[in-house]
Amino acid sequence: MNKIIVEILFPEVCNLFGDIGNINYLKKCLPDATFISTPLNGVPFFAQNSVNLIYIGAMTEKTQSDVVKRLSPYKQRLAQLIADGTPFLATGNALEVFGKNISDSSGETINCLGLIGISAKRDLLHRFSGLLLGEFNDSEIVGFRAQFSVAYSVDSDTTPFITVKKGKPMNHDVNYEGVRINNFFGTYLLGPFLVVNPFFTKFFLKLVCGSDVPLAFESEVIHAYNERITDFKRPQVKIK
Amino acid sequence: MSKLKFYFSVIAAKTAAKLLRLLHMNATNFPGQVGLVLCPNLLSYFKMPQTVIAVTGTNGKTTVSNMSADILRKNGFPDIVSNSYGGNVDTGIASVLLTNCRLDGSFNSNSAFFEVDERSAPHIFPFIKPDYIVCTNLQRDSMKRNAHTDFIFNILNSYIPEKSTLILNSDDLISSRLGSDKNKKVFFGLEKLPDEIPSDDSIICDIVNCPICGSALNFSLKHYNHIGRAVCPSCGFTNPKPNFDGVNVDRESHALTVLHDDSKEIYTLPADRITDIYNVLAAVTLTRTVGLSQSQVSSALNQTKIVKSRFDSFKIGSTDVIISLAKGQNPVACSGVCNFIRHENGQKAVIMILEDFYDAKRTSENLAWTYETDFEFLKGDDISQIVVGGKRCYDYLVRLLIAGIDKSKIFCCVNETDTVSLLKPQLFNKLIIIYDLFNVKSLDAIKSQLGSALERN
Ligand SMILES: [Zn+2]
Repeated sequence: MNKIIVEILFPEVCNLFGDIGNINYLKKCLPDATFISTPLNGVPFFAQNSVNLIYIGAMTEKTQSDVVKRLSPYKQRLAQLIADGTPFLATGNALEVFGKNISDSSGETINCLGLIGISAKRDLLHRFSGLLLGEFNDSEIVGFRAQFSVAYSVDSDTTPFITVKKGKPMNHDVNYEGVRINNFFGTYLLGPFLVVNPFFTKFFLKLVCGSDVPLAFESEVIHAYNERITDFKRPQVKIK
Repeated sequence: MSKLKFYFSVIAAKTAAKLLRLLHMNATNFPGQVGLVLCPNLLSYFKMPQTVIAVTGTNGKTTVSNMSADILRKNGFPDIVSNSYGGNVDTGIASVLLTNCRLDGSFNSNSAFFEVDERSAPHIFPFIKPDYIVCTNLQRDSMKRNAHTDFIFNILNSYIPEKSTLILNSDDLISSRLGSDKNKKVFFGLEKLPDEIPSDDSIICDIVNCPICGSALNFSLKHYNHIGRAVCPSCGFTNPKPNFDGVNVDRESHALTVLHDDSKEIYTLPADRITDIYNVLAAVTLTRTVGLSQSQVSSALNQTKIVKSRFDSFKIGSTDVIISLAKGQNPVACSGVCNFIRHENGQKAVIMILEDFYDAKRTSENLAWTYETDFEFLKGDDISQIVVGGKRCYDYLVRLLIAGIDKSKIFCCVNETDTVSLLKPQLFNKLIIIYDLFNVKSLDAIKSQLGSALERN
């Protein structure tokens, strides 16, 4: 097997809500992989090389504009990687960077990379935090959210990522959260998404590595996951 | 008409406050809530005392407020109106003003002092324009409450009155940029201390790129997280020069040396963690700027004691016990406590009860913050045991494993009060208990078990 290469985009600024936990966990799951951290001022490794996974985490609203600017020269390359089936994971508002645009309540519209068919509406005066219980590939998904924006699907070719069972979906017209195109997975669920969703992580690592990979601390992670699901399902637990 | 509403709300709030007192009920924000419902622009009608001071910031604002108000009370501001026992949002401040004012909205006192929650600036500063505003720092806080530092900076900066003199932390490249050219600014800072082990391995650094040109900043010193000294290699952006600069700490005599206008001033430090030193620097800079002399401030600080609820230490048998508050959901504050633990000497055990008491009841706690907290600081061989108590203990187990801590050292229990029974006293001579503010009840139960658990040792 070739050496697995994971590129983390801009971890110094795209780690707003513990998203870096995903990478620290992947490092334990893939001890032999190479992890490349590309800073905001650097040239992305994927520009000239093939990679097995590209990860990007949540960021501030100003950083979103900076990231769009930095990634714009590589739009074609990113489109090609998504079309070729390279696994991507974007957590929190990183998803919006790959969408068409973000319209801010101030009246400003930020044009984004336009690689996935979503458009976001942002309102800095109205933020919501909450939990989510959903399903993907017959496994339950749990997650945390804290966001100023809501995304709408504007293309018919974007497929939903997670079917929502409890909690707020991506917008009030749909029953799903996040989008998937080939092996690109984007979700507003933020923080240590891969740590809290071991069955998704197993599925995802198979896409990354081409074969089954044992999870790090598998029994402990699955135990914590089961405990959280039990907790989320309690009727008195308010999941906004 | 509005003035009438104001009089009416003063009477209603004073009546509500009296009633609550008669019923022995403690509802610090309630009179203010009543007042603000009756008269929404209530805060604009007060005839504020001559000197108005506000303290805001992510961490340390309560300590700095209490310490500064105490120094001022002892030095010519005896009847200062303050919210030291009340809420720090608009309703809390309205409560204090309503219960202390005369019917026409004026005050007996010559000064007012408020701790202000940084998100409440839009509800307070348009009406009450402080003569002095202290901002201790702006750092990552609870994601649910504060989103991120950019967001809080913009809220605060949009509402800072032009007339306010700002007391700012020069070592914080975020909050030191608050205010406009119209504001007078006085900065406090801290040099690298001779015995300091700089902490440059934190997960969180809330400013990495130059806010002017976007280039990566070069840090020459990090006291903790992003608090330190940096320069932009492209445009030269750097920390402002401190007007009150902490240059030395004598830990034996609890003395802090501050350089001000080329002369050395010595102040007593009630406690000497890096964040304690910054709190004293902020209080000294404020009270000196308000007009007190060095000797007035230093003699008042001599009598100050750190509040026991936040930090306590004692001995049981041959075991040293340290109890420290570690605000849950606040990754910077909690990482500071982890840093403190790693630098404590001795063979240590740690009990952690950090879960949010209210979240555990009403919802399921979002533990994303634990992935930006430096639990990696606890992986040294000088920590024999980490005992985690609480409903989410299995999440903490996973987090600690990812931090590189050996599984054989980690012990979990769902009931916080069972943590003591999992201790192995033969493995350590120092026990450090870290707890969230709302877990005081469990902490008391834990403390009551320590005698029998540790005395044999
Ligand atoms: Zn610069």
